[in-house]
Amino acid sequence: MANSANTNTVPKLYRSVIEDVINDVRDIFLDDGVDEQVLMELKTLWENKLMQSRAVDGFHSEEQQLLLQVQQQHQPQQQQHHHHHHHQQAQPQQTVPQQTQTQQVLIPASQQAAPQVIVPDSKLIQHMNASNMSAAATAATLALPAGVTPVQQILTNSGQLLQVVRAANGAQYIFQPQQSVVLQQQVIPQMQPGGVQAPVIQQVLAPLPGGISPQTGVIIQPQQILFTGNKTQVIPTTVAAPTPAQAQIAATGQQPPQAQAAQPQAPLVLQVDGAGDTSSEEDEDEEEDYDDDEEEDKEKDGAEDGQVEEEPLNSEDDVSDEEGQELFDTENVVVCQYDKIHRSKNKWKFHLKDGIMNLNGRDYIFSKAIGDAEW
Amino acid sequence: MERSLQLSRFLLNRKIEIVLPLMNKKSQQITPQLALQVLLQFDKAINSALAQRVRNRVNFRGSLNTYRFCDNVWTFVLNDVEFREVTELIKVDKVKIVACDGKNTGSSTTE
Repeated sequence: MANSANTNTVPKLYRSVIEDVINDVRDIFLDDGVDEQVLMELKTLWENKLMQSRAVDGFHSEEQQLLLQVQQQHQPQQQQHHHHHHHQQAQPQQTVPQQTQTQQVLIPASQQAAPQVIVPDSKLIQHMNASNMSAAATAATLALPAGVTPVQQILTNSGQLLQVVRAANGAQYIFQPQQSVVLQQQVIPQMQPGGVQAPVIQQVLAPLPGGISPQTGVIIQPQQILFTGNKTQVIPTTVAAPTPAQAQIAATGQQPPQAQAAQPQAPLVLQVDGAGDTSSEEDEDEEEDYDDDEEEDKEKDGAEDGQVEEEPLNSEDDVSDEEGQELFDTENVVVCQYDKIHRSKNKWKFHLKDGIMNLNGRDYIFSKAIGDAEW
Repeated sequence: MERSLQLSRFLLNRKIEIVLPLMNKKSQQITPQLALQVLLQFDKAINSALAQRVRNRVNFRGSLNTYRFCDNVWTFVLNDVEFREVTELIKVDKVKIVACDGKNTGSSTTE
């Protein structure tokens, strides 16, 4: 594939960097008396951040790679299941392989009587545009039988009710219910054509009455979750990104389902008054008798007239580019070292090395870069 | 190499985002000093990885909008740039290039 060279080297490099760093700091962690689990959490967070930022193609985690292999085997079976279980599928066929890309990191539970829950991450739409992730997820979606067992518990092998689920695209669920919290999660990959990137974060929790305390740290990455509609105790909650400030979910029991983050839409208000708008004030007095609509129109006209006169005067002042051009955050950056920078009249030549680039949101790496530019 | 350690600070925005939340959690799992150690380790790891494990070349061409050379650091802003690797072509409207001195004589203020 055209992008194969870069997409192969960068994820590998990052992964190896992560491994190296984690291994190197493990000693430091232990010296400080910090638990190994924190180290693992750091690694998980790191990988998820990388995936979430979509700066790199490919997966970040050995676990996910294993899951990939496992899920690839389940994929053909799951395709059919997905057709049945999930209602809102825009493209059942094309995207089925990708639909089931939700990945799960299932930490085998050891102490559990209730059936285990594999929580699939709903596949991000972005995923469809991303690399070839053919992993099917969703043993979890299969494991979420509609109406079979409303009570599902998640246990990790460390005894905590913790489940880390990572989607290939950074969707992550970490559930840390305190005690016998029953999490009923219905994550259904929602297929939408065309790379919709709206981070609709939704989580369905059906806590037992009195079972959950609001402080359970449920961290959810942006996901799209559909409801099967079969569960009567489906309680959606919206959760934000896994920053500490937002790590808590108000897991109340009786909230009406909020399928989408309802956004109150403020009426669009045209601002017609401005600095050079002296004429509109006079118009206002005259127009008080008019209807509101006409008033707005006239004010607008008055405003525009006033500004048109002044614009030719102001526009000449701005010859250079905005200063903000250099300060803009999301612009493409190259961070590197220079070997030689050369200029002849207005022809510049750049000899750079050991650099990392972020272009159009993706990360690239080079050991040498040579460039030309005219000033 | 020391200079490149400074350089990698730019990349730490990702790492910092991760390490800080762990610090800020109620349980204070990671002390600030520990976080700093981790970041320093990341510095070393990323720089050695860049130096050792990456072996590819990129060409680019564009028009230079601004240039700046201060404290032995070049900062360029280029417009309408095409980055060309063997396998792919990347076009951007604007790119900022920050380059530290790649020679070993560059002094470092981190230590």
